[in-house]
Amino acid sequence: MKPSILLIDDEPLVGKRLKPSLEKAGYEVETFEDPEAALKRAAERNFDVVVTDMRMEGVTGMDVLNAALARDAKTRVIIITAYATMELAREALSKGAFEVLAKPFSPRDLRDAIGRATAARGKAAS
Amino acid sequence: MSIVTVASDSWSRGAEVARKAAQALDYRLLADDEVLAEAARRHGVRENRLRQALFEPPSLLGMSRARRQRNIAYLQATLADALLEDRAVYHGPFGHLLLPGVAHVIRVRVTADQQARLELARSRDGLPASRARRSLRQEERQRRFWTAELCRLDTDAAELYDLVINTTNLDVAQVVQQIVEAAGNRRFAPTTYSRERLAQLALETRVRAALVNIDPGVRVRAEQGQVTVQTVAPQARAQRRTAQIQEQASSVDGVTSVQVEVVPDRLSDIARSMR
Repeated sequence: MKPSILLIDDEPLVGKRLKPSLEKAGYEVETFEDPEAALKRAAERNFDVVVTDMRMEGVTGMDVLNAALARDAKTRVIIITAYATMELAREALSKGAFEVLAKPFSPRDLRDAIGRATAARGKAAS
Repeated sequence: MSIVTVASDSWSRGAEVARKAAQALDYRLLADDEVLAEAARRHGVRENRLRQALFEPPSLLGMSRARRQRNIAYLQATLADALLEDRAVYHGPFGHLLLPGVAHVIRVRVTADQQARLELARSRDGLPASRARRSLRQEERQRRFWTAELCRLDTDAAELYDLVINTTNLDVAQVVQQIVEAAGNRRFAPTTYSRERLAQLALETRVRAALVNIDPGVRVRAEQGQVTVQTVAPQARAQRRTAQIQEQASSVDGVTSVQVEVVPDRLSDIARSMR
């Protein structure tokens, strides 16, 4: 069974650009631009890895992090943000985030981070 | 794994704390002497000049500001490069100031009550109280100067440190335990972002070290190999300055492009126009 990824970013280009690359790398990927819809989906099923933007309309990456970990503490959450700071990185990690990536990042950086996250869960891409 | 910087007040047992923390964490220990020696070797300067820049408080007849800026740039570049691989404990007076904004650097300050410090100065180094007090005052002046110079903050500002430990009533093992616990805290774990921030800082400081002979006050920003340099120069020299910086910065390992912003040196321009 392929490791599953939930990718949330209100910028449409992010999902369009990253989904094909992640599927090619062997992951099952669902993408959402609407963070409220993404939270609903996250409540319906478990995902191995959640990749979420930090600053979105109405819902923040921290909200997503809290919801994902509340549902399944083994979920690995990766924060992606154009507004990375030392304080934000530390806060995200202290609340259970697995990784923090600053935008812009390459698809390879994200694939590497997801690879480490799935390895930490004991799963690997097929 | 994290990086721990230990800035310690004299006679507060900071060196011993740093050494034992490195052992307990199985991290390499990087001491000031090594950084100074390496910086001297890399940049072709005398080690005692670097030591003077770091440890002597500024004075009218002492090292010029420009020379001090150059020497600090060499030290900063050397330190950032040395810490690109994490799992290290650095013991030095200003590590917490020279690596700003890197989330997996744990900034520790080790201090002790003045009486305890004077007593250790006497018992360990045979220093009479009057000399030790003079040394403490000098150190304090220096700390205030560097903190203000490098980050515009007061030396006691809480945001400069992640952990401040007074060793007066603790034994070294207890102090080390606190550092070990901090290093195990998730919030200080390296991330892709924080490693990139350190790599960015290392590149900025390397480029700056390469340019301080042209302009000691030069400012450098780097993002994924693309470097922006800001320099102050009179209008008449702007073109030549730009060309010099382009050539020098482009030769630094890791630089892919260089943009130069020349800020007019208004005072020089006015003086020139009055001739």
